[in-house]
Amino acid sequence: MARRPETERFRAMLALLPYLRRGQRISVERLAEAVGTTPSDVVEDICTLLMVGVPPYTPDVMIEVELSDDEAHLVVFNEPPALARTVRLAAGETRALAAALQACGVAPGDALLGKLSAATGADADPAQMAHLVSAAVAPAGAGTVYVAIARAVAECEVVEIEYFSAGRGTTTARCVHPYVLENHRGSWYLSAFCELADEDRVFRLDRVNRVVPTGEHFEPPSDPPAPRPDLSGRSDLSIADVVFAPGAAVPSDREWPGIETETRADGSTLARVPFDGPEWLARRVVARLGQAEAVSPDELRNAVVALAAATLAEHEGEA
Amino acid sequence: MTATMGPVTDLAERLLNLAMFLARSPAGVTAEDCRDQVEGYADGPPRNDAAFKRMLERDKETLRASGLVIESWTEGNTTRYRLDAAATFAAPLDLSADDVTVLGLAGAALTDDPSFPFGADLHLALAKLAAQMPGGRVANPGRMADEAPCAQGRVAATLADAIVRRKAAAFEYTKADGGARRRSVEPYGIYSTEGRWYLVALDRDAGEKRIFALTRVTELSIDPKAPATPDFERPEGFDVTSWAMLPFQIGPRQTEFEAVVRFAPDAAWRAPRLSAGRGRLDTRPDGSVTWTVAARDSETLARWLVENGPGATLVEPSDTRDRLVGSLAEVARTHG
Repeated sequence: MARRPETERFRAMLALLPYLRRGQRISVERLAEAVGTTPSDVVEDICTLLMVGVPPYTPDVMIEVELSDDEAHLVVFNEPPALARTVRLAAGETRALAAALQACGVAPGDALLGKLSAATGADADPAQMAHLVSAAVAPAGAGTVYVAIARAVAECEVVEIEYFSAGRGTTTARCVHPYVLENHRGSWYLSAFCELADEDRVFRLDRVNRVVPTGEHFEPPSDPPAPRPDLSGRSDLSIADVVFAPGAAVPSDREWPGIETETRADGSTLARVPFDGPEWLARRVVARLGQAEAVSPDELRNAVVALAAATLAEHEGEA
Repeated sequence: MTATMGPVTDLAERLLNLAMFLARSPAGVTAEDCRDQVEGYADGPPRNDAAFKRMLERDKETLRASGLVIESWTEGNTTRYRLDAAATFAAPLDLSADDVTVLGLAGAALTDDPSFPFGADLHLALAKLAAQMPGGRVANPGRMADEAPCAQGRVAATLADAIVRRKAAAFEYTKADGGARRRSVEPYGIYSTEGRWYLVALDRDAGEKRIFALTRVTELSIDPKAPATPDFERPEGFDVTSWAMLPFQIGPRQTEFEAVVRFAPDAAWRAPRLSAGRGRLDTRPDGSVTWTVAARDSETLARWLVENGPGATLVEPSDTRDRLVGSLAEVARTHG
């Protein structure tokens, strides 16, 4: 574990000071949780704080703390001679909060950012900062969905979501038990038990239209599945053969996870692609607009035909 | 005290001593007072005046970067310093339950994400807000960037600092064809999309604004001269989000055209998500939404629409729509 930079340690100790109230017995673990460090960091910082004070550095103007033998608790005998209140947010800290919130879909004009801005000095303006550092393009409505889902995760509440399935192209309402939210490549994913499918599923948050709390609660599993959108480690997948015309751009592993390619004598490329249901891959093949042909299996070919026909019908309606 | 002592921590200890000294001196103190009385200066190795002053200035800058407000004023030939308590200490924030939830989870998701450039600051910000955020923290790992997350995070953090301070930067940039060249830039903004961080900057050699993928940036250096003096003016009204384009908007300017896409009523809710703030959305009486948006690559536009369907159809340009219809018919025939 890399040693923390000294300036970072200074700021962590600054955050510790308000908790050191005379006569209090405090759990080191609780303190570490509050200031976002580890118990061993807290112990190290407390050791440093014992050497800190103001002139003339006599015991009455020094911090005095006793740590229990097992380093699990500390008792404060003398509180800090100064700086015993929480310091306002620094400009860099507000920028970090604004960027993190933006990554969660909170728009730059959101009231929460205004509150944080007001709590910071005049040298930080989250709205101005959003013009310079954009952690995510926050599509309208995404922040509301994130907040509702995040709250349901925190409270183990069953929610009804209206979800757009990109593979099937349909929107369905379903009750889910939301377990874990994770960010991958800038998109948020939720792992949840889906009552409709009667199994654990992964949902991409920007495809959730509406979230309705049900008031029902669930017992969270001790080891909830991670919301990983990739297919790695899956042994139950089918393999498709897709041929790309000579000169056509072949998708990377980032675009079509698990793809393996082989250039053929005629300049075309044979791609072997793992897939779960045929719909997702069929949509990608159709989107290549003739540059790719699904050779096998038949279920994929059939899905391509159905999807191409449906998309054709939609667009002919616009003519 | 029964714990073993930690390693020597001169700087953190000296900074705390200085901060407390300034906080306990409402009448103000001089630089000499700091040198003579504050542990860390008084007991350190002998330094000449210039070295001491540079050290004190650096320390005061660190205190300011941590949120402490230091006042200074001059009496005769002497400058005095003190902590502005009213401006330094935080007033309680009026956070709603939703605010607490979203802050807690955003923090949990990103503080330990190596590709998030502001992890350390986020950590410390949440520490300051901790008293108002009951319930502790949630383990919720995630990564905004999947390619070289540590390197992207480090480069993005360095550039974000240069952007705020308006300092010139230079780096080796490897293009997609493998060719590498050193670039000298005026960094204006950074943005993240689909797991990659990008820089928008004026390329000083080319004389125009360019987008650089941070995965291709190495050997980044920021002009160390005059750190407090900006090197350039940012264009007025610059907004980095206007550079985060959709795939079909990338291409030469002269190929730009206006596209019109219709979202069917039952897909209308997806329009704001998919348009990502680009172009104009108009809701029609039947509940459908018309999206008018600038595009530069008609083939990528057609592909993007199919990938994001159903419910999103191309209305204009009509020739692009006709080509799309022809291609779809061909795909159906080939596979039928």
